[in-house]
Amino acid sequence: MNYLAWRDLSANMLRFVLAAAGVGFLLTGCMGITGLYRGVLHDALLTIEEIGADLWVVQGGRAGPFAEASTVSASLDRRVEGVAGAQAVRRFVQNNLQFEIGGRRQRIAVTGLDFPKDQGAWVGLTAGRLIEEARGEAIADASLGLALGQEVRLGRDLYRVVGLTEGQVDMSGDGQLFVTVPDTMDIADSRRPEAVLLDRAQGLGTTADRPSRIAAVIVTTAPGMTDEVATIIEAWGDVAVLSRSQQRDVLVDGRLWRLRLQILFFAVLLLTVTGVVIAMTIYNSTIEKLHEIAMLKLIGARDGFILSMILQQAVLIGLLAYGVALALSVLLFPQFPRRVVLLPEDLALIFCGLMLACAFGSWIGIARALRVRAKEVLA
Amino acid sequence: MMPGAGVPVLSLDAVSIRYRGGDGSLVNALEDVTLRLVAGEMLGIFGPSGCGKTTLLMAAGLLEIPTEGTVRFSGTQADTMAGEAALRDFRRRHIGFVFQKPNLVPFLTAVENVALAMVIDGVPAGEAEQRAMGLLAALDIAHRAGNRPAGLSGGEQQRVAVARALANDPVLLLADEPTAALDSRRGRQVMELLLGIARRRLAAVAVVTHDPRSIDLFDRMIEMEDGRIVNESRAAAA
Ligand SMILES: Nc1ncnc2c1ncn2[C@@H]1O[C@H](COP(=O)(O)OP(=O)(O)OP(=O)(O)O)[C@@H](O)[C@H]1O
Ligand SMILES: [Mg+2]
Repeated sequence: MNYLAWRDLSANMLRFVLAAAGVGFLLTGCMGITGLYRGVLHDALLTIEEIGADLWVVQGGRAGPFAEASTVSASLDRRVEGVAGAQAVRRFVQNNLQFEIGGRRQRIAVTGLDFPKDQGAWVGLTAGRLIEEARGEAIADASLGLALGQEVRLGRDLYRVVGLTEGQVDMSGDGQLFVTVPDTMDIADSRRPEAVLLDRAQGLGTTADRPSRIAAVIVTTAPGMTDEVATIIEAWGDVAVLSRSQQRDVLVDGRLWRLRLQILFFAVLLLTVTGVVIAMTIYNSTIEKLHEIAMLKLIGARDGFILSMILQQAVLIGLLAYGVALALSVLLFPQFPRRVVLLPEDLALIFCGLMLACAFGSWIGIARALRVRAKEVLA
Repeated sequence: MMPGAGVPVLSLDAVSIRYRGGDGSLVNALEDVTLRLVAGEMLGIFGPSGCGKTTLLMAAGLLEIPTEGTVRFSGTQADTMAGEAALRDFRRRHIGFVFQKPNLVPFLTAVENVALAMVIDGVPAGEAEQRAMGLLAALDIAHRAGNRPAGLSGGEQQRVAVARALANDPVLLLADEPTAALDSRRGRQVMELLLGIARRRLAAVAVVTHDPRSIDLFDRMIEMEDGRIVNESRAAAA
């Protein structure tokens, strides 16, 4: 540690702390937006990763059901079951709807489970049990605020919450409510999808709304048969087939790339502002010390000593700020309505960016300090 | 590097330093100055404002490379050394400076200010501060060691500055009007300190001063005018 770096900072504690706090808030923002992106990504891929489908059979010419709308015949699963190599075939349907629950208007992603093949084992229960009846039972995500055993009216019928899960949200962050496929259709029939409500509110009338159809058929194939099964189904011509990784790519590279670009832009912007704040702080404190720096040169201090003082101050501000940002992130982000995922690699990247900003910030102060001439002390 | 009394420390041979003034004309700040300094002697430099006293100290302190002539340190030809970095290394190891203002680092305590001059030469901070305490004690200011400059009187600050100049055990101590900001009693004290350094540490001490009251302390005095040494006198043996 440079002999002067810390002593100078502690003598000017207020400025140091203010600068570190400012930079810390900027970094918190930086961590927040990258974490938010990771969270959106996580939520978007959640169903795809956990539902256990190797293939998604969707509407022909579409990359559904998440990136684009997709409707297929509710009996498509029978056809798919006939394909050799298709081990487990389930129907998939998900509708985002609005309901009044407990006097509060709430968005719900109603997701159909193909009971009895699928009782919801993959959703990860935190309380209660899986679905055991073909009708009238639901597994609810904790974010919906429903209690175990509670009965909610969705459309015409009552649904009893038999299981609870946590973190099961769809791409837009709506909590999921899992019911059987027929129940899903009933609910959608009775409560028109949000898009229809919106259209109607705008006086556009009803658009095509065919709730008796499903969104996709999902297939678990025999080991090593995935490509074969996909080729066979694709040859039918009226449907499209997406593998799990294609489904992932469609979302990440198709639907989320703009978001990613924007997040990257904001992150770089915030790190640049960080650099500017550090530069201003370091430059100011260097300017204030020009006389002392000249004196140091006069009594023979090497440039390296002066340089390390300035650089270390910048890095100290950066480190303190990073600590502030980490603490704030850990405290604040869990309170956010959307999931924020802090990945170690993102944090490391932000740290590298911060160190770059520190280097840039001190460089301008160092450049000024190195221009000072020793004899200015005598003048 | 601790020569015995009377051993040559520094010699300036026919040194001239010219500055280009703002209007493009040349200013002869130093003109053909030849001067020798030996270990253990205290030299007084006198002369009117602008006559080149500070410039002479700059040449002796390797802060200004002569336009003409040479500066030699016990045989080393200063101006042939490898540029600014090498000159700075030489200053750090062998030369001490005291100025009119103490020029202490405001955010360091007295002892840290002195230690700084050793730390920049690679002495570990703990050891440097211990030795710095010794120097402060020798200058009778150890009881103020933990104070920052703002908490010290002008005279105390100047004594700390002298301690800092001694930190590298210099063979040459250069002082530019070190008593100008002090009252006559404190000024006298600082001058006596410098004399003590010349005598006990056998450093060559050169002091620029306007103060005629300390004339009796100098072994030798030079008077400058327009960049030249116009008069040199030796004190009568006491
Ligand atoms: N960097 C410079 N550029 C141009 N001229 C300079 C420069 N430094 C000093 N001079 C000129 O050189 C001459 C000698 O200056 P110097 O500072 O050595 O005088 P001095 O004897 O120390 O004066 P004082 O008693 O006022 O401190 C002066 O005329 C001064 O204006
Ligand atoms: Mg002067």
